[in-house]
Amino acid sequence: MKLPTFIFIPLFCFMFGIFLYGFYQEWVIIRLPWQSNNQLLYTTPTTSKHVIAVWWMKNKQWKYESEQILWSNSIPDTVFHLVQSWLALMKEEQIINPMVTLQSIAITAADHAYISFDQNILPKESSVYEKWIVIESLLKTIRENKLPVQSIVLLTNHQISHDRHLDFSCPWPIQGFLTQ
Amino acid sequence: MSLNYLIFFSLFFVNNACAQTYQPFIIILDPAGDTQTPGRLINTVYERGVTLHYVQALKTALETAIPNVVVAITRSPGETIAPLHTANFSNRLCANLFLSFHFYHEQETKPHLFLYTFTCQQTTIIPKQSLQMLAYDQAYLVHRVLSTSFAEQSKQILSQSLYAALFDVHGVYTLPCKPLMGVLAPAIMFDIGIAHADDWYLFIDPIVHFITHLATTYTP
Repeated sequence: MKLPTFIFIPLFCFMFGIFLYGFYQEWVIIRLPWQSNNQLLYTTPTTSKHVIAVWWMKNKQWKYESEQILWSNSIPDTVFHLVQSWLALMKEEQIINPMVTLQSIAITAADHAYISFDQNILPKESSVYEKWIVIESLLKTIRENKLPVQSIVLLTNHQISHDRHLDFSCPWPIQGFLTQ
Repeated sequence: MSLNYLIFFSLFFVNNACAQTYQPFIIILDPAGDTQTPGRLINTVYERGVTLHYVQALKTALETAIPNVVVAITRSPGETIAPLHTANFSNRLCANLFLSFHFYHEQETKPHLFLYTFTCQQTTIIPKQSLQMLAYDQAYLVHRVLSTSFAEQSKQILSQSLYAALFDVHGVYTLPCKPLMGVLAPAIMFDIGIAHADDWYLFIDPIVHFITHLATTYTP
């Protein structure tokens, strides 16, 4: 065989191998004429900073504070950051025990948000009204920031929260009970 | 002699007729707390002690004020209450009214009284009056309208100028209240804020006034 053949064939194989590797690593994308644009687009989680309003009640009046959170196209992640922001404000206002932390959030197909804290967030010695308003402020914060959540279920350590006065075995609707 | 027999038999039949139409007004008083759950602290006294003293005094006052009333308290001192025990107790007695009392410590000197009725979730489904199965958390639907009506009447009476100097009234709020879960009878929860543990006596006469009004206007 001629010398150029000894050079050309390995070089061709090497280039083809690089091309094939690049194809599998998606460095090289081949768009065939009959393929639509949608098949080539795939969603990646995108996050951006977003300003939200965190609501709470003080002296029987609703107040809000603007906060910046990471807003992503993953709804559970966004709700998680929002609830964390709400929890931080509640601790600042000394409404909730400062040791409470948010564990996790799960959202079902029916848009029920299961929100789990590591402790009961409701202050033990407070009146029923004050405990109720804590939940209403969380509902209002989620509702006013236009998140696609229809109801929330409060959990403590991934179990249904227990309170002597308020029942959490049924989901609480996002509209709350204050507007009735 | 025949006239005596006539009078005797007429009295006999009248007495039987009254016995058939006589229906006592059955009230269940549910004090918060039990041996396992002392409740909130009011100065140095736990809620369970305050509520028990209160309902015992209220029971005495009601039995004195209203002749045809039967008052039952859901627990006695030293008793532990299982979940839904009070609802079962009330439902078995076919109660006409269920009142749950709770006290908490109020920083302000003037007491506050909050009125609550039960709802599980927002629904407009009204059950038929015929026999049907209801989940325990839907039992409130049977007398939901009556509960709301009684609660509104209680607010009207308790908000009168006669009691305005004693305490402030708030409500009626509709919430998923655990003490009222599973109760078939019209049910109201009172959450009362008092500065001192002995201030519960302020709420005896107003509640007696409210229940007397109900007993005279409502026919079971």
